[in-house]
Amino acid sequence: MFHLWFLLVVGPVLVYLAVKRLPRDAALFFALSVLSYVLWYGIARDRPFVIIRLIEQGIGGVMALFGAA
Amino acid sequence: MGATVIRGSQYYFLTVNFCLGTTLFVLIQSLVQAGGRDAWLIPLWGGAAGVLFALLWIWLCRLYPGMSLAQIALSALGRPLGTAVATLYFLYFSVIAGFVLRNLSDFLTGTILPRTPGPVFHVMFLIVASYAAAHGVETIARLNQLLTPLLAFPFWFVILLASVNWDWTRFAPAFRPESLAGVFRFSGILGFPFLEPVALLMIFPFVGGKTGRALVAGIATAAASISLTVFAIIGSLGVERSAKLTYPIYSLVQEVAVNDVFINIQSVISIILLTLIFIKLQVLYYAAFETLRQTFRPVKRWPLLLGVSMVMAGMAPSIFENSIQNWEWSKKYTFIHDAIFGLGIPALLIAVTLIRLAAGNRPGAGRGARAGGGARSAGKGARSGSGTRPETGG
Repeated sequence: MFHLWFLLVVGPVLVYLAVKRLPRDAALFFALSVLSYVLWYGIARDRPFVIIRLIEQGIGGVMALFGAA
Repeated sequence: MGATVIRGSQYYFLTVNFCLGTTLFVLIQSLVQAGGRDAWLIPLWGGAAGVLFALLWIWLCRLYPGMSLAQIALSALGRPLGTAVATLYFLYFSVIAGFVLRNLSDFLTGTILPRTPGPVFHVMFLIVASYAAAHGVETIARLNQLLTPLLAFPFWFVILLASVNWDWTRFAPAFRPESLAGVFRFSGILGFPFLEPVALLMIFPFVGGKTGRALVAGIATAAASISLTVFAIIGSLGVERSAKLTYPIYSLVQEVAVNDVFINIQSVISIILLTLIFIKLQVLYYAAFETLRQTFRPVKRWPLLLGVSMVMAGMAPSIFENSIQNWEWSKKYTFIHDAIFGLGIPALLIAVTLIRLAAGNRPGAGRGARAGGGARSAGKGARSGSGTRPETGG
């Protein structure tokens, strides 16, 4: 059901941008759509990606790389 | 079409309200827990550091007059690396917007509207923010200027009314070494809210007059306002109670009753705080939108507005799982995360620029500068005021 709703929102916009021959606009919108799909898919499954945990891991990784952790 | 320029005073009010934004909601309990009776000192030293950060940002903007942060990254680092840095800034602004939206919905579901799902608030606020962003920076600045007196006077009046329970002994004993150590150990204040105004650099080139002075004065005023608010809360509620309340400012005002004339004035403070949060969201939305628009230069703006709104609406429920996780994050990672974008990257851009200048290579003369000229493009963006390059800058 989630996929259908998402496609209904994103699909027409992508088709419109393709018909109008705006490849840069379409690529940018597609990239944002993929990002929002990842976020909303987690929310729809009731298991959202926890962004601060991802950032924590990133910072921890960088600190470990430089021997500060 | 002439360049869109907002006044220095409008930028000043925007800076003040951006810094206050969610701070009055989220931070006061943590400040009181960290600093005890002397917690009101934390925003003062944080604000002093914030002024130093602002001086760094002003230096960067003066090296590239008339350019926003995204354009500076493209000019200084060239197209590929500049695009990567601009994209990182888009994600950073989106993450902060996610925090702002989540704080907002947590407050509303916790106090006024407990049955309404959080995403309803997120989407409603994002629709208005995207509408304002589509109309450009001038609309945002004017709206903020119009709202500021309507926020400031009732806010301080309500705080004044709440001081009927004032007790000076709640500040005693003051300035004890252990509480002062807590005051200066609270490094989170540097990140949130005093490194987040880096988002205002996306508006910096659109400001006419003494822009740097407006930014510095705005940060200093916000620091003084937060300090005064914490002072009023400690004097009225005491440290023990304030440290246990999730929203001390709301609880403080909830207890105010002057005869039968002024009762239930917590609704006033709720509206003021919601409006402040909205202003912060609006600036972040505009910064995120303009970062992408100036970097990738799309022809149509509405698909970009839709895309940014979808990302931010997805960020808000995903940003953290619960308030304990958020509290842990604030304690350990807020400063590091904000320092990367508020100090690290601007310092890197300044260093690269100075090296290139020393080598006789004027930054902005190559491909990167042309690529970063998206904000100068004509068309709908220019008409709406968000797509022109201002004549004055720095």
